[in-house]
Amino acid sequence: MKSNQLLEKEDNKEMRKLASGVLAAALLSGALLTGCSSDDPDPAPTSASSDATTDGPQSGGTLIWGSRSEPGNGGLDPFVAEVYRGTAIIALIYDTLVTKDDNGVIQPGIAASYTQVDGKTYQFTIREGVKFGDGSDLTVSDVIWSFEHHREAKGAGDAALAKLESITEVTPGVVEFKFSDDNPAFLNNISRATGDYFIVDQQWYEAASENDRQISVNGSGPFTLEAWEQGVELRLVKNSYYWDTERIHLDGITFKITGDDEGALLALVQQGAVDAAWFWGAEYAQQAEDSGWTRGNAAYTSARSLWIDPTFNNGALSDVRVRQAISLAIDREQVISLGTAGLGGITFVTPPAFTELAAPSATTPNYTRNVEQAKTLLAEAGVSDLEITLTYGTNTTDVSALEVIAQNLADAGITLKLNGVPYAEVQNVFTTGAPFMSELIYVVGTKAADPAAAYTSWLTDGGLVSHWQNNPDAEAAKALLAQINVETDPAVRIDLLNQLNAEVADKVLILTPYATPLAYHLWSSKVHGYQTDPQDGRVHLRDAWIEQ
Amino acid sequence: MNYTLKKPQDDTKKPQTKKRFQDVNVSLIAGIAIIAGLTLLGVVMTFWPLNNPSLSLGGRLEGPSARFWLGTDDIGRDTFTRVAQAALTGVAVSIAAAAGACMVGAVIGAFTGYVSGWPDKVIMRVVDALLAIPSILIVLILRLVLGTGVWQLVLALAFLYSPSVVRVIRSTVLVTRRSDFVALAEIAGVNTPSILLKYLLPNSLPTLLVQGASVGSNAVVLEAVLSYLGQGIQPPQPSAGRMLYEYTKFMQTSPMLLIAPAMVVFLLTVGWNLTADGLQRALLITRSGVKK
Amino acid sequence: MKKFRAGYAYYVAQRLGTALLVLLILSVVVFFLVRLIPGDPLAGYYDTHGTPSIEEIARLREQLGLDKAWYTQYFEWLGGILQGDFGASLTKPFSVGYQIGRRLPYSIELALLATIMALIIGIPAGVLAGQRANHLPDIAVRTGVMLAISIPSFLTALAVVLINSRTLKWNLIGAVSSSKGIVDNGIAMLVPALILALPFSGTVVRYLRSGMIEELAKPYRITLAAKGLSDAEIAYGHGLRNAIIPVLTVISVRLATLVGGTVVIENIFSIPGMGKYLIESISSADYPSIQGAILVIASVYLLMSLIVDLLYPFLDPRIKSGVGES
Repeated sequence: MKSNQLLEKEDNKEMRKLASGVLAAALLSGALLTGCSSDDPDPAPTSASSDATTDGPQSGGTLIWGSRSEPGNGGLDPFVAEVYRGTAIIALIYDTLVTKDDNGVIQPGIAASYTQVDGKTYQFTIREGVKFGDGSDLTVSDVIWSFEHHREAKGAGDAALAKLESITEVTPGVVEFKFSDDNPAFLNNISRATGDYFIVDQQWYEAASENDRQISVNGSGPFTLEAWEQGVELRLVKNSYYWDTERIHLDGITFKITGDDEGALLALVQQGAVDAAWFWGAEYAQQAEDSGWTRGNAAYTSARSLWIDPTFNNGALSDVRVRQAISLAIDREQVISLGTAGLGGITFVTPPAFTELAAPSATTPNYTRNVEQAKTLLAEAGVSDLEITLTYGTNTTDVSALEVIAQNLADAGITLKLNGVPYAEVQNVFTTGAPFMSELIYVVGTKAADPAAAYTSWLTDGGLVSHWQNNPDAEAAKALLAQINVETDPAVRIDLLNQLNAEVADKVLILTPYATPLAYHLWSSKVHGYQTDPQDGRVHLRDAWIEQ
Repeated sequence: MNYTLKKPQDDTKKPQTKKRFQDVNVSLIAGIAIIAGLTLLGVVMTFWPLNNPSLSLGGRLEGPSARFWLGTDDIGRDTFTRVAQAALTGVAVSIAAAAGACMVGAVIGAFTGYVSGWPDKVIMRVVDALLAIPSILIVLILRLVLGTGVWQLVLALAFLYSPSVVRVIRSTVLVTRRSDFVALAEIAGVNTPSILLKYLLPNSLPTLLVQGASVGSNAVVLEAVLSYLGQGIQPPQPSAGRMLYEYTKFMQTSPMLLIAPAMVVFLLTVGWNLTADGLQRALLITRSGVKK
Repeated sequence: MKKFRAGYAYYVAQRLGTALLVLLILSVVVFFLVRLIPGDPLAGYYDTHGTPSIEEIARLREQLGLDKAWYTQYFEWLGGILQGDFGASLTKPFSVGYQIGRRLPYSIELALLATIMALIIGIPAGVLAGQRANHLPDIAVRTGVMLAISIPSFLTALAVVLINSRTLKWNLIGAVSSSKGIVDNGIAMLVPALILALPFSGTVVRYLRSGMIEELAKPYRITLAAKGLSDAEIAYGHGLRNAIIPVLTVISVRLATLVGGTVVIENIFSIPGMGKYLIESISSADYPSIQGAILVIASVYLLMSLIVDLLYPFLDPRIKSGVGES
């Protein structure tokens, strides 16, 4: 906090200098100029900055993080805000029962330990002495209530708890979850840092009004909300009641919000007005890196997908050969090198960040470019002069990649028209299940809590964007997915997932030309102990410290 | 900015004895030359492009070379050809928007000015209401309503600028409808549409032309702003504003990608503004000449 | 004088009535424009991985009144606004009225700053150009005006940001926030205000120049010169006083449009004003916010023109006699 005020003071000084400069220019007055220069010698109150470097973590200081987004609808209510830009901040305020480390291994959280009794039963021993931000104790009943309320709030859309039979305190301090069927994805789902299975104070939550839950917080996590000025900044300060307080070095984190314009964010970086930032666009990330910042080694967590409606427009894409021709015509290497500035990778539906799964290889069907074969397939299908449309939200940073894909398809005689619409319209498709407005729709994927979740909405028959109900090409994939959802042996499950990925690539039920990181995390040389995590969760802000 | 003929801008009050340098209408000539030049460049580059502008012929972000005069963009397309075609898009959109706004605005303006009474009151209050909303906001909403695409954009721009044309034309019609030849025509039983078309509108033509040129200039900027906000012309159709929007990220690495479309926007607005100025001057002079 | 007073009262009543009527029409226009936007107004309500059930959607629609007839929705909205309630945002946990209350002051401050700067630049330049019409200073000023008017503000802004990032690294972007006072925020907005002021000052110069030419051609100038007043005294003391009147109208109109018309500048400099709010609302399809923001921006515009209309008879005695004619 101290350093934050200091920084603002310095900013003001800068601005005053600027202001007096402008005034001076306008009035052509020398007197003002001298007045300004007498102000100039910096008293440099931060004299300790140079010698206090590599001696290990320093405590204190506020880290300023530049971000284009802030919590949207649902605000900071852990049960309502499902949106990533909301949960990314909530994750610093609320705790989950268990967590996932960077290697994908489940680790203790609010639960000090856990055991999986069988495929349908899990037991968690709740950590003692945990308190919420207001000083009240976190109890076993808070844990039970949090999950029960989650299921009430989410209904059928609750991925982890759909098959829940009961949550009970079997012995003091031990909570047992019982499911009606095997639930292999349970731990994955509830451990996701930016998911929505947070432990909430029942008393506080029920006493607060709907609006208060969204703009105030009471979590057991390392930080708590100090102020949120919508569209400007959101300030978190250290939660003095945090149970693992040794781990936290920062006094606070201030998120400076710029809106969708990442140019403004880059300017903030280059002005030195922020200590860390994340960028969606690779180009900006590279420029921030060029100005001396460290770019986190981000995993490719976001599969950029082209969803297919095979029934659209008299079923132009219902013939598997036509879809295979499209996949074969795409030059994935070129799309990545030109469209993502080289910061992307080849992907299945499950992004490469799921390191436990096999990556696409030279033998992956329809992934290696072959224009001749594509033309042959189109001829076999009796299709000539194929013209299809791809709809995308105009806020995307990826238009270049889409334009490369259009060029690729033109080589095989397929005309791909790009149809840019306001993002809200694209969003309609996967939030309300509105019909597709073209054969293809471009969607930015996020890394789901569990790899199978990437398939649910469009491959299961009840899914909101499912258009494969009557197409025999999808039957094999659907059968595999059903098996995966109840397979409890992790090794077998992974094998099935690999089979599913290959099957979907073979029948081209969806096109996933490339994957990139969801966001590039960058930080200045003052920031230590931070690194990007493979969940896009900013979990290592808990370990970060800043030179003062 | 609305130009009206009431305001003497220049030295017309001074006795004009011999042709001085100022009497040569530099503004008009320069303005038309700029627009014509950009149009020509755009037409040549559309029908005989230097390189196919929709293909990745070069590498990523190449510098200027003999083949790619202004270098290439992030996916290896020729910047020069694309910028030249964008200039043509800009010219076409602004002319179409100005023409549309003038046609709609002139008809409504002449009608409301001539008919007056309650239709005039209602129309003018609606015009007031529309003029009260900043233009960018109306277009942003209209773009959501109409969807994206060049024609939708032209439609939105034409709609946006017609209220200002209505206002200007109405005021000129209010003056001319009091003149003798209109009264004579009315006595002779000429019907209202004919009076509007044959007598009132031709007299408003000079005002309309000036207004049209200034609409053109505003339309160029607005198209660029819209595209810069990601709401304007969509790829692969080249547009200067869209290029500015997409290439802002290369502001520091390949500034040429930004400078070139910025120049197009700048030249187009200068061209239209000069034309508007020059027209105003030329028409004022002829009018005052006629009066004398 | 009495006659003027009665005439003025009628004039005020007429202007107020017209303004209210326009405002009413405006609210209808805004309401329907927003209704015309295709797509589900609830789209922004649930984001990426939210998959609400059909019942949930129906409940939400009912809660927001979207299931009612359009006229019921319109009158409920209008009734709310008359009580100061602009409704709830669909995408943010802060109500529309609260948001506008937070953001409008920034936009007004920016617009005022830009206006002041435009006058500081525009008045001397306009007077100079008028005094020395068709001579070198005038030609220089006119060229400058042509450039100032023709370079779109957002290009200037982009260039300024780029050069600043490379050289001075002043804290130009994201420097405005409520944790600072009005003065510090004003200082932080100087550069964007200057960028907005440039084309504005061009307009001021144009009107002022032609006004000055007209004024200085009048016979009183010779009388004043005969009294021994210097050119500058005549220009600033007498010519400007009359020539500034039409400029005031332009200023008020421009000031009012600036309040909502600075969308791009606010975005580039990350100023959390009305323009940025509107863009955010449009890209998230937040209907109540779009409606509220446009209505407020347009009301500011109408209010400004009303004030100018009401002041006009006092500023320009010539109008006094003609009061009431449109």
